Amino acid sequence: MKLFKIFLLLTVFISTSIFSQEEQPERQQGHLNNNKFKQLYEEFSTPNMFRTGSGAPGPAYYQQKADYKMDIELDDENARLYGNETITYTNNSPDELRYLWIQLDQNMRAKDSKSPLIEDSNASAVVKPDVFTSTFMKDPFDGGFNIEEVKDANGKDLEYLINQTMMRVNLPKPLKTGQKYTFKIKWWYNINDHVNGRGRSGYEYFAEDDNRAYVIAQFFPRMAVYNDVEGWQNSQFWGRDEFALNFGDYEVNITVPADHILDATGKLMNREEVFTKTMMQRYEKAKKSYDEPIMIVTQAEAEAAEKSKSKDTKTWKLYAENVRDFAFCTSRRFIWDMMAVKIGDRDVMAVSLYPKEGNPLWEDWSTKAVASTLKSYSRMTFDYPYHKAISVHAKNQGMEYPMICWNHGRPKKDGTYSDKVKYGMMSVIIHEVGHNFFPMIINSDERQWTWMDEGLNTFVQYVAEQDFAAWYPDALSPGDEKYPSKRGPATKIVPYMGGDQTYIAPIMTKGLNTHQFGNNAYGKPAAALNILRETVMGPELFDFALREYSRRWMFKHPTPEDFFRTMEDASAFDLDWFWRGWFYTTDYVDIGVKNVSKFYVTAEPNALAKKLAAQRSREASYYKDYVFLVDENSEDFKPELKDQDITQTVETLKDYLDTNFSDEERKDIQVPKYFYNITFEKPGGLVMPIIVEYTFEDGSTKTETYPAEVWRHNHQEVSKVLASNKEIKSIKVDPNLETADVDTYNNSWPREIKQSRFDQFKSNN
Amino acid sequence: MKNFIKSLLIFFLIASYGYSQNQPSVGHTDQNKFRQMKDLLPTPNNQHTASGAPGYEYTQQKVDYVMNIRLDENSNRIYGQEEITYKNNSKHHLEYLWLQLDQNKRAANSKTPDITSEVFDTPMNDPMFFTNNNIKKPFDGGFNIEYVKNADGNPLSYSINQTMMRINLVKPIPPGDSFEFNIKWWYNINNHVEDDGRSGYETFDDGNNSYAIAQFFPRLAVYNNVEGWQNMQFWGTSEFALEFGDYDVKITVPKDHIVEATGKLQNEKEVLSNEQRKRIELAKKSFTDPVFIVTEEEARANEMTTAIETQTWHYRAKNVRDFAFASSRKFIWEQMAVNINGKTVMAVSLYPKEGNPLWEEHSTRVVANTLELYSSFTFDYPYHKAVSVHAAGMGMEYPMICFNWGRPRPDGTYSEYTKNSMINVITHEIGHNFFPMIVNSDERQWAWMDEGINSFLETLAELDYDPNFDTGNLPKDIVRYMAGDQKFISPIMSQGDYVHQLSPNAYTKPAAALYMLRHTIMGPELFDYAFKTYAKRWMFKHPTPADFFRTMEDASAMDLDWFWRGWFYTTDVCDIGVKDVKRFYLTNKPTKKAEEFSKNYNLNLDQYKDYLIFYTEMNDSINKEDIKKASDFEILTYYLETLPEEEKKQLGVIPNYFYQVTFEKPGGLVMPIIAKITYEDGTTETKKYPAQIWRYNENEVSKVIKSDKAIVKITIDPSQETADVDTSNNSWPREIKQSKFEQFKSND
Repeated sequence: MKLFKIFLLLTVFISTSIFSQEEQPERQQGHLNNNKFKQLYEEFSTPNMFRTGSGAPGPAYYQQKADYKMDIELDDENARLYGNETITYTNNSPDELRYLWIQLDQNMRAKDSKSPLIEDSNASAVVKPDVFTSTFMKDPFDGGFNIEEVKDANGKDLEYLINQTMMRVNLPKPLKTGQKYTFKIKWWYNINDHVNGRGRSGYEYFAEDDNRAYVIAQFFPRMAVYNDVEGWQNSQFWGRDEFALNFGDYEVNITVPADHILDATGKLMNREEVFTKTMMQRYEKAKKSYDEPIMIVTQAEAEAAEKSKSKDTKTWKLYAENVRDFAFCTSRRFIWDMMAVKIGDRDVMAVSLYPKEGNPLWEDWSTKAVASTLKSYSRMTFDYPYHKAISVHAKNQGMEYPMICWNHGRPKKDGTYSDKVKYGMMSVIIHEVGHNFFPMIINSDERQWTWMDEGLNTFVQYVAEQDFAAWYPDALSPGDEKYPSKRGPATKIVPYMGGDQTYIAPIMTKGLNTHQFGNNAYGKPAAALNILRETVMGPELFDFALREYSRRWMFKHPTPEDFFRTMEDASAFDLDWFWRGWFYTTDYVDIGVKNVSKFYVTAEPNALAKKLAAQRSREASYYKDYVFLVDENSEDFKPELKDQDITQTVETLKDYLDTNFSDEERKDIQVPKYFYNITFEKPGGLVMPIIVEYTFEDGSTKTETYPAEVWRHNHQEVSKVLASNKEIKSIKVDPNLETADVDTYNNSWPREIKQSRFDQFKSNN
Repeated sequence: MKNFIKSLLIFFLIASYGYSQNQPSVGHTDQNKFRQMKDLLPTPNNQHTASGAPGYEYTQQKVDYVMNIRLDENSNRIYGQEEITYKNNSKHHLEYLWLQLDQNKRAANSKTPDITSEVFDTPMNDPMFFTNNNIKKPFDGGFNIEYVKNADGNPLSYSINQTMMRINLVKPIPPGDSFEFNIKWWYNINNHVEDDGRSGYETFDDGNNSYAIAQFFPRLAVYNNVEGWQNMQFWGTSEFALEFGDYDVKITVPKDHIVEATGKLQNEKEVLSNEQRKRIELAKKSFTDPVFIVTEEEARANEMTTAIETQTWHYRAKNVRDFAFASSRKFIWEQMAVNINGKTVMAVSLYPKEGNPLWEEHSTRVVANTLELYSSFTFDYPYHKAVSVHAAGMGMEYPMICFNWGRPRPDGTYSEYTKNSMINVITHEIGHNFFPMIVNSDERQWAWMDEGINSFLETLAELDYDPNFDTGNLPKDIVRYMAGDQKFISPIMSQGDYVHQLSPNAYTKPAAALYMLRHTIMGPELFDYAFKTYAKRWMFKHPTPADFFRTMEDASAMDLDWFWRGWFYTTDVCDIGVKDVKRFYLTNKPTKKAEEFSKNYNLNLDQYKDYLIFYTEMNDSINKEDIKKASDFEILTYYLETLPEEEKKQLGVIPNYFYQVTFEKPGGLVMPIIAKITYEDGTTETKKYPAQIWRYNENEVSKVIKSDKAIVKITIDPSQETADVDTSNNSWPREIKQSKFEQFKSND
């Protein structure tokens, strides 16, 4: 296209900019493309045969498979775990592999662990005795793996090297494309006390009856991920950033004391061996109970069990297909309940295990929260593909594994509990069960990108929490009308985003390197996605795109770009500006009304016309054919302009309408009285839509949403003209606080009395 | 001895580097202007190679359309029924298809007005503008989609987001498969004169309309492995990304209309008179003058009446990326044959009498000239015709057809400006047949890839049509823009919707940049071969910016990363000047500098007495009588005498004038230094130092110029070929400084 007219218009514009240049003697520096709407070509990796430009797996996409056969034995007396494991690794990559990397996560707790060495430590003046003792006096706990042997399928020793939490097995000959390799590892380790050590797995010790409840995970050497993105993902486990894992099939036999109750990832293959007849009957009943959980082991039975200790053992046999990990819980103290939930046309079991200390909270809400979560997440992503989802109560824990997770939430000794404990327990269950979708099935790399599972999961958790309260209104405390979600709503992230920039990192940062991890990887992405859904895209476009992302990457390994690209590709919504701002920077939202001026219409040349005429040596009457707008506060303003019918009093306009409009056409016209020029300012770095509520003299309101693109030419301020036949009384930007605007002082015109920032944060919460 | 001195000097140079670096400072990344573009360009892969060519697994989709279109002149509506066959040549499974509904930009609920900044900065409107914006009900020109059905007639689920429509497929289209579906729609045609549209109608005083119709049907978006689906919204500025395909289109219009369109007319016998067909045959053999198919007289007669009946024009086009047509009873129609490398192509014009006498004089000839010149720079024009249609205020391109402005006054007179502007727009829009209609770049993303490259060739074609033509696209023409306020300038590598001053950004600057690349940096021989290679590699394909940048380097062995980085990725300006000129004299007396230097290295200069020639500036520490001519040095004369006869023959005049010229570069762009040197006897010499001269120091560099004549003047960029934004430092001795304003004026 040839830009003829536009160019003519621009000459006026350009010449003014040239004139202003005259006044600047210094030449300005050139610059790069710093526009907020610049596409993310430089940040994203180039699409290829593995990952497409649309964000889907490409034609050459592959992933490795790791199958495990394991015999596990728990030594309850010494709190040790022994394992014998056979790994079959399938190389589906087009590459030849000369070594394999295996994750030894428990080495983070080894005596020679380097995790404590990279922590900043300062001497503190006040220390509790237990902390003092464990820090300065006790021999550090040695919870690292003891690798007894690494052998090939024929029993021949394999060469290996351990670097902190990673073990490299040097292959005798390269593993070619499509080949499988089977090898064996024998190991044991000391199980940690997860209540004192804050571990993601371990035991809780109940002193009164000298029993332990075990929640066991990362307990076996697990294959690291090899893919087209990282090669081997062998970034160390320092304790914070979680796991990158392959899909595979698991055949696991777990031997525990005979009086233990155990549940785990996978299908129980020898139920009739390990269940009593009563338990079998209750189990069959549970499979048909869709409304209320059925007790498999009652509290009374559990309380009886904790009084004695069996010397015998029992082996629980489990089998799981297409899972990325395996975890289990075991204790003689567990109460066990189950309920069926319909997902699509399939039945899934919602399961809970908890010691009596969890009651009455757990028997009331755990299993229902599991069921509700599975329904919500299935609606937002895909039908939950596994046969069960378990919530296990473990003190202070909130940790997820395929089909099973550990959750906190414990009443006081007398069985009473605060709202905080109750909602905390429901939220953690929804969150951890939700992790079955992200990252257990949509298997992102947690070591690299915490937000890809935590952020997405926290966002869907918000939706699921709202569903839960809608489906189970009794779960709400008196006075609450909806579920008091801690994360998700825009206002919740304001204190973080408006805080000290020294302690804020962009979302696209590895967790190990970020301050305020919870806000960074959970709260902010959840709020961002919620804003994206509710305010920017609308639920219809957003939900379709999120489901498309979930479907594309179900049982696969997505990267951040795969998510970003799919969301745009499936919606025709260019969101590069959104990802760039919210995910790649620490910018925040702050949009306000800067100035409002009111204009009236006249046929009398105004000051500008006179000035232009003078500049061009013309009479002001040169512009006699025009319509002029005069500012209420300018010299040109005359009171009689206020209450006129411009189609009658403004001659030039009257003439135009008379010549160009038929009577029929005149019926369709609207005649505005007031012309407002509203200038919006944007002190915040993020571009966002401007949501404005105009309130008129008669009390009526009108809300306009100007898309974020309104900022494309000027990041600082932008003006809009509003022609109206009613006078505007007030203007409010973001009236429903849906954009996470960190400073609402400038959101109102006329300005409201200024709140202190502190009050504002408080009132936002 | 000679070598010893040399190594000493080199040592001195290096040592001074080392010493100046004594303060530890903050480190930095590679900021050199010549660093390669690895961080900016996509990683080459099997679809786009590192050499800039399509890779061995390059694919593109194909979309074929069969359409029945009806133009209702009474209601100004267009009705359409279209059958689309989508061929998935990619290796991907497609879960959905995206279609472009460009007319939705004119829908009553369009978001384009919402993102437009409005101010009363110029609180002065003409009544039409005021009425349209404030009083009139907004025009509803969006698509009305009546149905979307699959080949079996079952409705397909779809969702519309502004100007994009997603069709949700029941099952994905596997690689290699085709999918057929149907859409029925209509919309209200806009008045393109009022709303500056790229298509629409114009109403004439005689009550007749002329229609220039485009973006008039739901068109498939591009799917590739660069963007996935290119479904970025059409906000009104950034144009189109389209797939190639075959079109079979029947257009029903009032019987007295004359139609031109993309493609070959299939039913000449039905819609044209015998006389018209005879004239067409005549035109096919007329290579020098256009032949009228419909004369002005016939058109004038035609516009007096209005036919009630309709007539259907049937077109077929193979391998085009779009389809457009023009229709009116007012059209005059002429054609001329053009010889493109032995193949006859028809140059065609269509215009109402209001375009004459300008149009009958120039339009068809400009079309022919454009096809010839563009073909010689790229590839032989592959279609059978190129049509230039006159539409008021428009300059817009489609395959084989384009809409162009340029209208004389009602009395038939016209200014030189109107004429040149019309030649300019026709050359430009016909040129678009090559970029982007055939070299099919993504206009939505990169306006410069078609507009900039096309404006460059347009410039060459215009100069070919008239060597004195003011093209407005030469390096000197971009100075005003580049020197302007940086707030309103974006790098060329920007998306058009957020760019200020799109015209200089995406048209003039890249055109000027390529012009200087051809004339000043690469030279026509290297440039033309590489440019042709790019055009041929990407003919009927979808290139990206990297493909262009890479091919230009790959085919020429010129590292141009510095040029692309500076001109395309930054808003830096070219400003190179002479900072200082020092004359040096020869002496056999050790100078102060030489003494200091020797002291630093514990050398005894006396040892080398009579073996050294010293350079000195004329200053207090030197006596005039110690200044010697080169021929006064016995050691030199002796040395020269000892040379073999063969070598003696090679010797030039012994220089006595030694100048150290320091060039400065306040501008951010690195560019060659073109220095014209004028000697005392009036002779001149132009030295050209490649841009790489700035590789160590981008602020200033020095050169030593030796001569047997005194230099009286040095001028940088004497022929204004580098777009130097400030010429006040271009001369030595300095000329009286012009004010910046005068300088801009004189550059125009």
